Amino acid sequence: MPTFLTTRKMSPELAKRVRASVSGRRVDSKTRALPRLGSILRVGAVLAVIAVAALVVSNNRRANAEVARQRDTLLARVRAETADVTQQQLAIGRRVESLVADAAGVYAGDWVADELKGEDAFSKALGRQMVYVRGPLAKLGSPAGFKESAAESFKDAFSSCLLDPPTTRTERALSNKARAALGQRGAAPSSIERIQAALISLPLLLPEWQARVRSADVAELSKLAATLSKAPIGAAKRAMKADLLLLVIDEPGDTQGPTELDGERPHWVRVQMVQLATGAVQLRLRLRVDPSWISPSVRAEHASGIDSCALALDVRARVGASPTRHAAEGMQGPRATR
Amino acid sequence: MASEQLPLVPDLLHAVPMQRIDFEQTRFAINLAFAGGVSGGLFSDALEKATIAPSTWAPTAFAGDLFLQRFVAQCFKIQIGKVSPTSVNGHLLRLLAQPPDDSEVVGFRRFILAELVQSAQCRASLESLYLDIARLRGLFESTGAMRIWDANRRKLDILQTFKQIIDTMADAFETASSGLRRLSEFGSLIRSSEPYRALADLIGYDAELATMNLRLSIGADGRIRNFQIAAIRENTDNAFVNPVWRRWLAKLELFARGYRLSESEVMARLVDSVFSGLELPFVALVQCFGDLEFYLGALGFRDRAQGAGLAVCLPDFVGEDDARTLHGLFNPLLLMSGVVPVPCDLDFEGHSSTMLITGPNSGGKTRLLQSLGLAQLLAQGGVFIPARAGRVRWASGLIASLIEETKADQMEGRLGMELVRIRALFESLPPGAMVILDELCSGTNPSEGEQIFELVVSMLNRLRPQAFITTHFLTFAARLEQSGKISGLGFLQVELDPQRRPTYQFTAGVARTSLAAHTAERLGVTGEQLLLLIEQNVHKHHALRQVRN
Repeated sequence: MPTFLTTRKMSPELAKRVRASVSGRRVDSKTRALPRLGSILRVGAVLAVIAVAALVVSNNRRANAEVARQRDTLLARVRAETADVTQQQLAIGRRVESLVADAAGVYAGDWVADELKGEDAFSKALGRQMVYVRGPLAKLGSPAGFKESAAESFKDAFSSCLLDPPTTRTERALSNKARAALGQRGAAPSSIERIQAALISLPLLLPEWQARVRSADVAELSKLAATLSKAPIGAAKRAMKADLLLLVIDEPGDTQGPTELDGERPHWVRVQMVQLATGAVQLRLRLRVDPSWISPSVRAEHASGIDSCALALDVRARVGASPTRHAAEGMQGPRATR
Repeated sequence: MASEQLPLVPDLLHAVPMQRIDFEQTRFAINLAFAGGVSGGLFSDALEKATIAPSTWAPTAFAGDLFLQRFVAQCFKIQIGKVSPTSVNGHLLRLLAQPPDDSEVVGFRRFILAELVQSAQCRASLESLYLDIARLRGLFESTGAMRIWDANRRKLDILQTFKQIIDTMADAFETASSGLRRLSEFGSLIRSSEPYRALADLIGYDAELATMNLRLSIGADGRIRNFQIAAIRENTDNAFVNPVWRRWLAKLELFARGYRLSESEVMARLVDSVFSGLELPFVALVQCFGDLEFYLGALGFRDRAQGAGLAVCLPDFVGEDDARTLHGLFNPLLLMSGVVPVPCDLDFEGHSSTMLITGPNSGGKTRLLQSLGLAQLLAQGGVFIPARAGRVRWASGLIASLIEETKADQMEGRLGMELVRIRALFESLPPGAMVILDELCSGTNPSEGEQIFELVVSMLNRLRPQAFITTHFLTFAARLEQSGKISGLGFLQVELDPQRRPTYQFTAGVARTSLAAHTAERLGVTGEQLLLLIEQNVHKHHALRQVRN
């Protein structure tokens, strides 16, 4: 029987002896069965090892192929998501942060661009895609404060009333708007997008993240896929493609007067609309809000919302876009103070 | 070489080579020992059962009287430098006790010994060869003591030692003119065979599977900082070198066949395949080992004698009627006892077949008989005799009666046993044998003993033996000398110096006295000394009684 121990360089006699040394064990008839059984078991063991090894290799290959497929899918998705996004748009986070920081500095005085003045012009401007950020002046000056404010900037009574103002400026109308806005916190008006969506999703669209996908193992890859699935990519892309930044900066409140239960108190508010592409300020107003006019029973719950809605109406009024009627029920709202 | 048929055995003991050990049994024992299944006794078992050349000598008739076992153990002890290997004395004893009846064999052995004496280089090579085979014996027989050792390493050591032995045989005795040349012929034959080439390849494979060139970087502190493998070269010319993938497959194959999954198992199979081609040469070495011991033992005897200032020789053989001489004859048993024996010169007439030896007690008669017996035995064995020069006659056998042992179960008295001994002598004595008898018929009164003595001597003469008989029947011996009525009878007597002390030399004639009085005086058996002993004992006895009372 041939054996792997022989070589072609061996003499025939030596090769014969090698074969004999491998197979030529002397066994008597009584003990012959046992070695044969042992040999069968060993052959079985070798085959089992080979089968297991083949299975492992096959599984490994299949797993690798699956990983490659997942990776390709993920990368294709990322590529698809970023196909219509420019590099400038991808830089929106830094852009907005810079504009906010400028606005949080020394106030440069009120300004309304001519193209916003008038009901139609302002409505047209509000129809353009915007990103919305609102926060206290003390925070918006710093990167950390900006990110914190961006995370807390939801649809509120200000944005709601700015885009869709109440027909009358009564306490009831304003409080209804405020209550409605509170109930729809997560859903921004169609033309307004939270900057937070872009800030969250931007890392997933950058080349660094794609490199991470390429080098990820199975476990890492599934985590990355889950992260991408949860990311608000659609909202982020809308934010990235916005034309305008709508910025509301709350200056520190008055310290002499009372503070309402929701934290509202009289204070100055800066409102800006800035063109994201050029950085040109379209609107810059500094208006004062004061909840003292609101009846005590309503003020306790919706002072902030009513003030925000009133602020929006004041903005509209300043650009000449507010036909809101006053004192419908004998109670007048506050007038914006300059 | 077809290992199943060994055309040549390096037999150093016989003119016509003989396979003397049981090849099949020894081969089986070697296989077992190689595999590590047995321990000890392989060489001695094979050699002690080995057949020897036909001999007419019966060891039982003389071995005990000549203390042959002691002679072999002490005089034939092999000493090589400071090494004193354990020899197989049983084999040597049988070889010496049964000298070949073929004079050609004796001549063959003498020629080898003569060459070993003449050529120091030849002797050194033989000693080296013997030590190598002794090492091989150690590797085979000490398997039990080396269980912790790597089995493959032990087997490779065995094979390596074997190769060295074969190389020594082939090279060192190429120019030998005696039978030693057979070693060279045997070595060359093995060396030209396929199994030997496989052996050389295996040893090369074990020593060098591959060569790796390394480039080392040494730091200022002398330590290795870095190394690079510059080149790796596999010894692909070697018949055993397989590619790596085949080595792995071989391991898996062996595992499937029931062996362990290891590199050592692969090596074990290769080692076994090489060994199986060399089984018969291995067996031949066992026989060769016994042969070497024979010659090295003889040389050892020569060395010891020369160390004591005594000369040995390879005697000449003379015809039946030629004069015989033994000059400088000494008793090697005395030499081994730490006594430097006094050599004596003996000359025998051609017609003298029986020598009566007379002389004083402790005059060296019995020692002379031992020396004569050993000299004849060694001469016919083809080795050195304890004499400076010698001319000896061929003997068909040897019968010695030197020791009178009293046995508990003996049925006869001393005379009866004496007569039984004489009867046995004539029952077994072939013509032309050597007979040595000490104090024949000393167990009865002199007048009756002399009659039996005369009968024995006259009858012995009919077989023309070389008889040497000691007696204290001085008057009777003198009468025989004067009468000359028994032909072929010669007489030797112990020579005495002027102070009538024995010189341990022997001259022709019959002694006048046994000098019993001198011996008695020397051993403290005089009247005065015995009286002193009696008084001493009586005094001691009285003292003991007083203490008890």
